[in-house]
Parts: sequence; C-alpha cells; structure tokens
Amino acid sequence: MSLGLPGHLAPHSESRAFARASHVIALVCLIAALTLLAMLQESSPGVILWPAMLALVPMLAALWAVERFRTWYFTAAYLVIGTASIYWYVLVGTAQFPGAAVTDSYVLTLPKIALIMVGGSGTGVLRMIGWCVLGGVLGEAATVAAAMQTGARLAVDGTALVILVVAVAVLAIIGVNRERVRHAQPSLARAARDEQLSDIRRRIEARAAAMMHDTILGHLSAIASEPDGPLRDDLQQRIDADLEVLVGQEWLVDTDNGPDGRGATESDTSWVASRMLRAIDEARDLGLTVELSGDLSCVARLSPARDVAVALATKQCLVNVLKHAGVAVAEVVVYGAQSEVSVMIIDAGRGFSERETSVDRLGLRQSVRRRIESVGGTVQVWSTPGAGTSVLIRVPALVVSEAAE
Amino acid sequence: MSGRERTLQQRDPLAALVGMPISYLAAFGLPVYASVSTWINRDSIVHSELAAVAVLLVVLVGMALVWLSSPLRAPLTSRAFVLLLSLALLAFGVSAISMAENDAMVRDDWGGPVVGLLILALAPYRPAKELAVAGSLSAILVGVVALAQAENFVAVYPPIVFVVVATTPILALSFAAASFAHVLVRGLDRWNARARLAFSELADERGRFIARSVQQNSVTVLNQQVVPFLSELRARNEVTEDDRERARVIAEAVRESMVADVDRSWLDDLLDDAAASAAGTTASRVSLSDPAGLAQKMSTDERTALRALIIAAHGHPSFDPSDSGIEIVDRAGRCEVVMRASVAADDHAERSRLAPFVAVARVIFADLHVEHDSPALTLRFSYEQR
Repeated sequence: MSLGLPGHLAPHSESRAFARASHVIALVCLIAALTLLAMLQESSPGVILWPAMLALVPMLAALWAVERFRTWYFTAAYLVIGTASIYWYVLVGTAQFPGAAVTDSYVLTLPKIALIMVGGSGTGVLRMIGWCVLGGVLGEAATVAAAMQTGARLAVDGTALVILVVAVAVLAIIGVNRERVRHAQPSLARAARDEQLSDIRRRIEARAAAMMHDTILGHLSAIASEPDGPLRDDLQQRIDADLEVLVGQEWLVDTDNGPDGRGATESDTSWVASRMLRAIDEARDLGLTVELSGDLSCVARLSPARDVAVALATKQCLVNVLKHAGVAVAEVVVYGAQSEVSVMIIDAGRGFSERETSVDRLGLRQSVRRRIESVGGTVQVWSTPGAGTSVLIRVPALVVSEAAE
Repeated sequence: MSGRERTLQQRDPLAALVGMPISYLAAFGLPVYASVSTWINRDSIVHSELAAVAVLLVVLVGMALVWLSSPLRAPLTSRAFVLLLSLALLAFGVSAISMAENDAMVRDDWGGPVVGLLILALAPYRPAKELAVAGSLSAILVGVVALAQAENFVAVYPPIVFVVVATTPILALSFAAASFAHVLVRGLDRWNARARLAFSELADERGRFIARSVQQNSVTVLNQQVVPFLSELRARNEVTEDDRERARVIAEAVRESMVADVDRSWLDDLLDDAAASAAGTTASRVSLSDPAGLAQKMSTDERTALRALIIAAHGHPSFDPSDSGIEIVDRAGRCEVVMRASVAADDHAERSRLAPFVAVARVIFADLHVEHDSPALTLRFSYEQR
C-alpha cells in the first residue's frame, strides 16, 4: 500500500526535492550564460569575454558540490564562491561595453538566478526561504559592486526579483499548507496497518473455520447417523484426535511463516507428499473409489502450509462427491507447472449450482475456497446440474530449480 | 499499486494536496504576469485584439489548471496535461503573432516563461519523464518561433542567441519540475519498500498473537457444547437416540454460527468497531446493505482508503451514524457503492477535516463522485471485483 510519506519524513523529502529542482534551474541558467557568452565572443572578436566565462567555472563546481553534499558547509561555499564569481563576471562583462552595459541585462541576470536557487542545506521552509533570500541579496550586491567600479548603469533587476518572490511564495505555501493537510497522515497509516492486520485475522479465521468444519462438524454428522450401540473404533479415534488437537494444541500457530512460508526440509518434503495421499486414503476409507493420476511428486514443491491446505481441500471435495454427487467414483489429477501445482477433482455425479446450493455452501466456501485463497491459491468450480462437477485447485509452488536446491 | 502512474498525486495524494494552492497561485500569477508584460511591450504590439486574446487564453489556462488539479477530480491525466499545455502554447503563439515583425526584445516575451511556469505548477500531477519531454518539445517550438523572428529584434546578434534566450526559461522550469517529481516519487518508493519490510516483521509477530486469540475464541465456543458432549460420549462409548439428536442440534448451531461468520465482512467489523469506539455520543451504527458480500471483493488499497475515510467521518464532531449508510450493489460485474454520511460541515475548516481522506479515496476510486448538501455528504464510486 502506498499512501504517502509519514508526517515526520515529508519535510525532509520536500526539502530534498526543492533543492534538486533549484539546482537544476541554477545549472540551466549557468549553462545558458556560458553559451550566450561564447556566442557573443564568437560574433564580436573585438571584445574579451572569455575571462567572464572562466568566472562561472568555480560556481559550477560549487553547484555540483552543494547538490552532491547538501550540507551547511557546501551551501555557504556555494554562496561565497557564487558571489565572487558574479562579481568577477559582471566586472569583466560590463567593462567590455563601456556606456552600454546595464545591470539587469539578460546575460547578467542568469548567474544571479543561479545564486538564488542555492537550494541549501537542512530541512524546513523557513531555512530554505532564508537561503534563497541570502542568495538573492548576495548576487545583487556583487553585481552592484562590480557595476559601480566599471560605471555600468544600475537598474532594478525585475526578473531576478520576481523569481525570488515566486520561490519564496511556493515555499511559504508548502510550509503553511503542510500542517493543514498532513494531520491526515497518521490516520491513513493506521488504516493501512489495521487493514493488513484484519486481513491476517480473516485468513486465520478462515483456517479455523475450515478446520472446525472438517473435524467437529464432520464427526457430529457421523454421530448423528450412527445406529444405537457402541461407538465405532475409527470414530472413537477421530473424536479423541479432535479433542486433543482442537483443545490441547496451538493448531492455528503453525510452523510456516505466512502463505509464502518456505521452511520445508528434506524430511518435511516426504511428509508433504504423504499428506496428500493420506487425505485421499481417508476418502477411500469412507467408501469412495478414487482414481489417482498425474505427477504426484510435484506436491513436494508446496510449502507446508499450502500442502496442508491442498490436502484438506482435496479431501473436502472428495467428501462432497460422496455426500452429494450420488456416485462412488471420483478422479484426482495432479499437475505440476513451473511455479504452481494444480489438483483437479472430477466426478460424473449430479452436479450443482454453487449459488443455489446452501448445504454445500459452507464446505465449498470454507474448506475449499477460503482455505486455498488464504494460502494464495485459487479455486475454480465447473458444475452443471446433471452433468458432474470439476473442481480445479491451483496454488503457487517453489519453482523447479529452487525445490531442487 | 498496479495501474497507478509515477506521479506524486497518485503515490502520495496528501503531498499533492499540500501543493494544491500553487495551482491557485499560478492561476492568479500567470495572467497578471502576461498582462503586465503585454503592457510593457505595448509599443511592439501590432494586433492589440490578438494580444488581448492571448492574455484571455492565459486566464483560461489558469482556470483550467485549478479545475483539473482539484483533488475532487484527481488524478490529473495525461490528456488534461496535453490540453493545458496546448492552451498555453496557443497563448504563446497568439501573443507572438500579435507582435508580428515588430517584437523588439525576446527577453520581454511572456509566452515561453508562462509555458515553463505551467509545467512547474503541474509537477505534483504528472510523471517526471512526461514533464521533461513536454518542456523539451515546447522549447523546440518556442526556439523555432524565436529563430523566425530573429531579424525583427532590435539587438544585432547571431539568431541562435535569441533561441537560447527564448528557450532557457522553459528548459529550466520544466527540468526543475521533472527533477522535483522524480526525487519525491523515488523517495516514496524507497519508503514503501522499507515500510513493507517493517510490516512483514510486524505481521509475523502479530500473526502468532492473532492466531492464539482466534483459537481461544473457537475453543470457547467448543467448550460450551461440543467438548462436554464429545467427552461424555467417549466416556460412555454408546450412541443413543438422544445423542444423535444432540449431535444434530449442536452441529446445526455450530454451522449457523459459522455461516454468520462467513457472511460477515471486514466492513461489518469496521463499522462495529467504529460505533463501539465512538460510543458515548450515541450507540447507533452506520447501516450497511451488502447482500452479496461485495465488500470482500475490494482490493487492499481500496479497503484502506475506505477504512480511513469511515474512521475520519466517525471522528467528525457533527457525524450522525444513525443517519448514515453504505450500500454496495453489483452492476454488470462492477461493484457500485453509495455512501451517505450525515456531516454538518458548513465552513471551510470543517470540510477540510475530511478533505484529505476524500482526496485519497479519489485517487483509489477513479470515478468517485462527491456531493455535499450539508449535512448530507454523498459519495458514489465503483470498483472491480478482486
């Protein structure tokens, strides 16, 4: 989720961006000044402008330094070097055009703009405004000092002044408005965090509900259809297992690290493979004939959490066949692709419409769909009343090379 | 984040909102600048009616900028950007024609700087690359015009000098805009990467805690009926008619509570929590009509934006939950939401408390439509099923 910077980081980020933008303007202005001088020098060989061009070189170097290291020291260095450069630049430039030079001419304004756009060190609007104003004052002072020496005509530099005012206004707006708007940031950050935690809770609840459905509800139904007399041995064992697991252990705090958990070791992997087979065997115990085909070994590429989910979901699909499809045969096909494993459970029974079937709703939704979705997989169901049912379960798996390592 | 552009407005809607008054400044400043420059250049103007049209076009640019950059119409699309830029370039062209063959000085012409300032004002709304390309293309156009006018200028310099003078403001301002946007968006990307990492650590830690609490809830439910029944049955190891009946009744009760849990959405939970934490003022809850459970089909970003907005509304002093409601319906595969909130916000300060959250929602739900006839605040939007 990207909902912006937290309030305490925003001023840093804004100052850095403002400094970078200022330095870009300064760079373009200095390059334009150099280009113009070079052209003027070329077209008027009689005047000597190249020393003025040289004056801008240290300023360019200082600009590079303050962009690279936005510290107090380099900011001050840029202002000092820039002031000296402008003084020298104006002195040489105006001396070449006695009587004709004016201090607000375009070519003299460009370095002044570059000095206003110092960017400057630190964070916070007031400091940035301070650097801009200081740059503006120093640039103008250097220009006036040089012009007074060469006798150039002094004029108020409207362009430089307007640029200074605009830069200050933009900074002031950001400073004033930030406080007004950023109060929303903590609430947004909290909403994003709450949403993610609520998503984790929903996944875990889905897993809990699926577990309850497969164990407690299944066994209660089995008891409800038992004849009078002693409890069957296998049912006794399952009830004991339920009580032990559900009440005694941390069955929701599992060993994987979320849906991408990849803690599978060699011995886990073999267990993984048997987990799927065990689910199918349990369905066979219930009286279903299961025809198994495809590449069973690819199940070993599933993380423990996904393997358990696929095995239990498959079992639930098989139980559904037995309970609702009206047939005693089902087919399970396992496919392994590069980065996913698919399991398809097919029967030729009664079929159903997922929306209309209230009885199946819980089993299919909880024990199959939500369980698989909670580990990042998908479930597709094709069923037409009278024409059988196919359920396709797809979950991400370790890619072949990773699994081999 | 897929489908969202590398613009500040779409990555950090609040930052764009911080910069919003710059649009007002530009809308005011650009026409003033054009008018004053036109007045200063009045001796160069041949067609005064065209000069007036050019200034009016800048007024139009300013108004369109304010309209299009409003958070209520976010995000500002590339089409809107092209429209604004075309208007500004048209103003530049008309202004140049108004001084046809009589323009004394290229540095006094306002056309180029207006284009550059417009691109700068659009920095929060468009990606860096687009801003830089727009500036470069505009500079080429302005440069060509300067070249064509070179003979008319008073100063006698090589024509390329005028091109440099004319294009410098556009290049400086548009490259500044591009680097401003680039630095901010890159900073956001880095922050997000760090935040994701920190969150996954938190999620690991909290996941275990949540799992225990969910398990505790389930065990509490089981302990009430299921565990006593099964333990008793195991002690006897005999099934009777009474047991069968009890098993059916308990199974039905567990099933019903599970169905109810399945049907509850995050939005139900959120509205319950919001009502509970706002208790004291009133115990009522915002109504929710979502018969098909479509709230579950929202993406994480959509849920977060809506969650923040709902919590912000609950925090508003005049919010009345009993007169507020959310309705979600399926219309041809898209989920349409109508959210009505009773918020008496008559003055600007009151409204601005919710504005940032509406701005964020506007970025997440592109078709968000807001009506506020105080106290009835109505938001309509739709989303794709996840």
